[in-house]
Amino acid sequence: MRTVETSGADIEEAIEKGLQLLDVARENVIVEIIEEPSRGVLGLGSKEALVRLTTVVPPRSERPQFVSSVEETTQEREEPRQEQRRDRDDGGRRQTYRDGDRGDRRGRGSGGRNFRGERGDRRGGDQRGGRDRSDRREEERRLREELEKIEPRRVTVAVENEDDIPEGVRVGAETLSELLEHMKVDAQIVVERIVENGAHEIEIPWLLHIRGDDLGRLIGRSGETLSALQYLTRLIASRDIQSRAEFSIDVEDYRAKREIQLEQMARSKAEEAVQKSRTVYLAPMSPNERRIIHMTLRENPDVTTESEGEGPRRRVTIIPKNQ
Amino acid sequence: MKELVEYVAKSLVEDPSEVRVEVFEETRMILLRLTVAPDDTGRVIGRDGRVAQALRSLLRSMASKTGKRVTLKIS
Repeated sequence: MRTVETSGADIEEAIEKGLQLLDVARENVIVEIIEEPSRGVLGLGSKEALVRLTTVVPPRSERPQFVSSVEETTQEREEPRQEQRRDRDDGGRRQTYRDGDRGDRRGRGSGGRNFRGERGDRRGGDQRGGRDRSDRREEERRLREELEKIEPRRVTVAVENEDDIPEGVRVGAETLSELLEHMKVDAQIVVERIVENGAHEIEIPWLLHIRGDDLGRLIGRSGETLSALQYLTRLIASRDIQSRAEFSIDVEDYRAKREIQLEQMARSKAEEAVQKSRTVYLAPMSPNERRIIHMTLRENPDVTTESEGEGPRRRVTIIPKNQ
Repeated sequence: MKELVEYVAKSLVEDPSEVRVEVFEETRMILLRLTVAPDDTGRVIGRDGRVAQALRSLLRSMASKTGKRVTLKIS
């Protein structure tokens, strides 16, 4: 049994894409509609149709070797079952896109190890599935180093006078301070106001900026820990003041730099997709990071972008229109 | 870790007096069990489990130094 989730402007289009990815006929799948398409306001918040297709006949690609190599890594995952299923999907997808011949099923007999090698080779860099831990660490280190060199375009000023700070932001700073204390993190919180953001709109002007040394563990892989910290701080502060507390949280300009890095990555991967005439898969990212990729490439006439996969494995694919 | 879970839970529930956190620590893992009043369960899990997920992220970050695995159970 294989499963894919695909999106499209309408349900039919989403199903069609899924069938292509699975390389099966309509009668061989069960279709679940996960999200109906909807039109957003001012082009924001519009949602594509999202469907899940599950094959009813097990395809030949079910390889025990491959699955067991996945299981080794599930220890650090939260959803091992989902993980396995995702990986099988990837197998199917990888195969279908290989050599640009969607109908070609040759080579399916290869073992897990070989499969893995090919995959790394084909994807390279930040696009691999995240299975190989040392590769992943290497890539993370490279991205962090690259990040260091990026100049954030946003300009902020520290606001020290409490009277100038909205209640929600002040409560947010107190909440964050408590959270950090319980996490045994020694750092300073500076309340800042964003006064300029290059050519970009300032969505939320208030920033709780965590300053200190060696705060990498507050950021986490692809900013996961920082997102969690921001989510909980805003939730608790909002509950406290009984209305929405609006601020963002950053650690040593990480978000500001990461945004620029993601934009650069989006552009170069789009170029790669067009040049090679094939779909490029990015590494799994948080919803906010995926949004930055989609927004960056929205105006690009040569590619379309889609998110696929579930939960922590959800990632952006860049599809050239000339494919 | 206990304090962190307690703080977050007490900040979100209606009845903080019912918040209990038990910690079971073993050589390779730490298990935290959070118990809240039945009506408050949804508040500490969050929509689509987001609160629980965020808490787990913070716990993982704290545990990364020790090399132990952290599990958070909510009941």
